[in-house]
Amino acid sequence: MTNPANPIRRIDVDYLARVEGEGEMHVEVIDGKIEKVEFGIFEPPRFFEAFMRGRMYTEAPDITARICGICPVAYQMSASHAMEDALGVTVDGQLRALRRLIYCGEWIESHGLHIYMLHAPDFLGYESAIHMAADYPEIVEQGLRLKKAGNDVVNLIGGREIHPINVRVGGFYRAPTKAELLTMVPELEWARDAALKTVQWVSQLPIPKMEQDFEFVSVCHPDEYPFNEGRLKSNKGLDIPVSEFNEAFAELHVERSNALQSVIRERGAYHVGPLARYALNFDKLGPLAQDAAYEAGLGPVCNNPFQSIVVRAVETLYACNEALELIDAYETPAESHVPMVAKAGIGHGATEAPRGMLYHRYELDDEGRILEAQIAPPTAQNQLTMEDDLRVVLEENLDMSDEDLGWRLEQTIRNYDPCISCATHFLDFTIERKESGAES
Amino acid sequence: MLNRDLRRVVVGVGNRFRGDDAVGLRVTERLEGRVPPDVELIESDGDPVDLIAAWERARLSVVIDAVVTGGKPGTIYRFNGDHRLPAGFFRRSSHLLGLADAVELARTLNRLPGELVIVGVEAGTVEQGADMTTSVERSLSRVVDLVVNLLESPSAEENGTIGVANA
Repeated sequence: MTNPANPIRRIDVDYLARVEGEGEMHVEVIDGKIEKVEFGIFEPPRFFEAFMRGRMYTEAPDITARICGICPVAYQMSASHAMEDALGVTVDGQLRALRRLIYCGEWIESHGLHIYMLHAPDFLGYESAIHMAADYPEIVEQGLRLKKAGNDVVNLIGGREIHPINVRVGGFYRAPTKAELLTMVPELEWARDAALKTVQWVSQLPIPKMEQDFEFVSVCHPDEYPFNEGRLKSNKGLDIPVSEFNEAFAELHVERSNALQSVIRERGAYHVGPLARYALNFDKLGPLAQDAAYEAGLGPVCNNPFQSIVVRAVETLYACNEALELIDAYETPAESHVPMVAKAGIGHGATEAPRGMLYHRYELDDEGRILEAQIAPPTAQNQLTMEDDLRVVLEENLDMSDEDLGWRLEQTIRNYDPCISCATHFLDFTIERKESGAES
Repeated sequence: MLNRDLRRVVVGVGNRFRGDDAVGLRVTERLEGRVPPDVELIESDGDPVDLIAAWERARLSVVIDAVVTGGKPGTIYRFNGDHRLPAGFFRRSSHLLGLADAVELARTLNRLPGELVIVGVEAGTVEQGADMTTSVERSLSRVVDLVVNLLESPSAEENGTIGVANA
């Protein structure tokens, strides 16, 4: 019960603009105190998990790639690794290198899109990239071309960018030749320069101050900045093989959202994505990206979620450079994939999607048919952390007008580049703000 | 590559896993073999970067996408890219920059094709995993004919509603 003298301030954002898919946010402030922060998302993997039951293991990379229009490679990679784990197959050598290369392409396109088209307008006070383009045409052109460079890598290796059909369990249907990869070098060299400029540019944006005590979780590999392989580690002591995901993490069903919210058992919210990868793997970034990060004012750990735009730019620089190094070292392999035989088993895969760790688990029957599928996408894993951030931003900015506060809250959500559902989203984003009395 | 002045592209935008949102892709499929050999057929998930790359050097681009206006499913609309598209018609793609955003972005950056015609088809359902509705299924051949005619004489008709396929 509230007192009529203490009006409820409620900020509802039903359809968030520039967030992939559909989401809603409800905030209730009563008498200057935050009573409720709910960030609800409608998320599709449940449909796909059910859809995959009874399908052959070979179909999983193709089907799950449809879940996300921006990160199909991530879904293909986690699915392929999980199936290979179930069937006892290892993919290494040049095929492994190709997987890293296609992942570089996906990071470049996804980060490029988010930095320039979705996130930068927040910092500069533009409603959208279209409005920004009128004042900053060269910057927006640079962003579009950078994203295109990533698209081209995914296209060339994946077969077709919107649905990279060339990826399969065990490797690829056809491995590209060295000569084919070399055609991408000039544009990737341009992209590497552009990415360095991007780091410099985004570090100059007016970035709100904020410090959070995150539990960062990412895939960690002993020698590489993580894409495909490694253990799951955190800055608070987690260190497990991917196969123990379900022992360390729990997925809780939340009524207001179709998504399952993930927690680390006993500790609660955690953070996956660029900030987590960066903090846990800074020493694997290499001198080019490390120096750019230092010059941009970052240390080896970044706890300000608003600076994720800078970390994304650093990762884009890393990905461009890594792609060039992978192409340089590439030798056309004799076989495009590792052969395998269907059998019953359980397999786990975790790879680093642009938005963070993406976990897949499959149970197969003895013919290789899928009995059970589980997909833990990064946005669902980050959901509780996003709510924590929203709460902090609210507490620190309650004196802002509703309009400014709504803007800041959306910006807070976009720090996570949340990939909420895929594809279709029907325009209209509305911010509803109500003030009401006791009966509300 | 074809000369900028000669190239023509037809782009189908959509998602096959989202009911009637597949309409653009289904139309492009049916256009195979029905359009002159110089016309390039492209499927897209609506990524503005790809849309702009697809049409920017073309003399003519026809883009087909699902729309949601609350109208009768299967209703066909036609828009000329010289004007701003009506707000709220076109889906935002997976990137949350939809076709209308791509058109405006291209306009701002001076990267529109010589002539841009957009064909919208009213969707009945865009639920994840849904089949295409009968109304939209029935509209397909009409949309295909429309695109074929547009390629013959793009300026023949005015903007607006073409009609309801199953009316």
